[in-house]
Amino acid sequence: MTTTLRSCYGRALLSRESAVHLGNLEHYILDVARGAISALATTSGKQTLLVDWADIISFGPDAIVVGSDADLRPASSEREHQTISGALALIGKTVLSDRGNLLGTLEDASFEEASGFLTTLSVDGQHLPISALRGHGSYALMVSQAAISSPAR
Amino acid sequence: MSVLLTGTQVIGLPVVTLDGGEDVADVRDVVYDPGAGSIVGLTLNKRGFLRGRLRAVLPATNIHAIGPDAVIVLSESALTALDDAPAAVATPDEHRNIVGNDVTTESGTVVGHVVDLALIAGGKGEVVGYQIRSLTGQLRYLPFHLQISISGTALIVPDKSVQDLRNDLVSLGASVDEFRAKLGTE
Repeated sequence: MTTTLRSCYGRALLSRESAVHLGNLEHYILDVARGAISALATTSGKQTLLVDWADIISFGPDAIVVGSDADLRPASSEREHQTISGALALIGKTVLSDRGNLLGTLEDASFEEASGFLTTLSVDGQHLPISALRGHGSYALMVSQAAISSPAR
Repeated sequence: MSVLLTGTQVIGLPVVTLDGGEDVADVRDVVYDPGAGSIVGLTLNKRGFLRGRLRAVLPATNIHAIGPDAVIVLSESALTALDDAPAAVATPDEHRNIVGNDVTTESGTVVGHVVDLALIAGGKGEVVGYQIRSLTGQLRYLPFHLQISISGTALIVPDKSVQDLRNDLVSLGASVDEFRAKLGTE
């Protein structure tokens, strides 16, 4: 089953161990090299915390179930800090090709709920395969120009 | 068909890393080697509020692509400190500036002056022609292969090249493709 980034923002994170509501999904941390979501971020109290994808029990239509409260952790890398600050926000991000062409802005992306692997990027009405993804930063998502001529279905 | 850019269009573009999607500089100027028909590098400005000259340049060998919307480098390490950069780009010879050169035919008639360069979009800085302003004020495009010599003062072209001037970048691109096809280099 696949879903989209945009449709999952705000989804509740619940602890399987305690059934406590841990917060709502605010940010995705991407692993560009794998083309996958590596962690989710949520605000709990005054602190924004992360849960690694490996600690997610299920990604359901109404809630994301995490193993336990203890699976939440603070951001540890510069990239994670950048993400929770909003600098790496995906939706609306400029999309540039590796040939220096502006392709538009990221409208959404699809991913597999079971694995967190991204499948397609939606850029101004065009669907690009995730294999096109080359980089993700505060300025732009970088994609391969070659992939633009063979867009995903 | 080759899509072309002018040098002026490159100035001000962000320099963006392919691996990180970060904007690390703005293009300040294009440094061109008229003998080779390619740029030797780009001088840079800082991004953001602290704009001003960056004490680093981008040698052509470190350019991944020059596009209409950004210059792409593989990573920030492509930017080279002035002290470590090739002299041709770190301290360019101001006398080699070709903008303003008279375009003069072999028989000694001035037909206009150079206004700008034309580069292949998505390439690494290969110059394929010049934008010139004719004596009647019209903008025209001269394919690079018609250049006989260039000095920083004058660009010498064959007499017949006046007939080969193109009206816009699109037709210059077509002309370049046609010329390359004849050479078998496309």
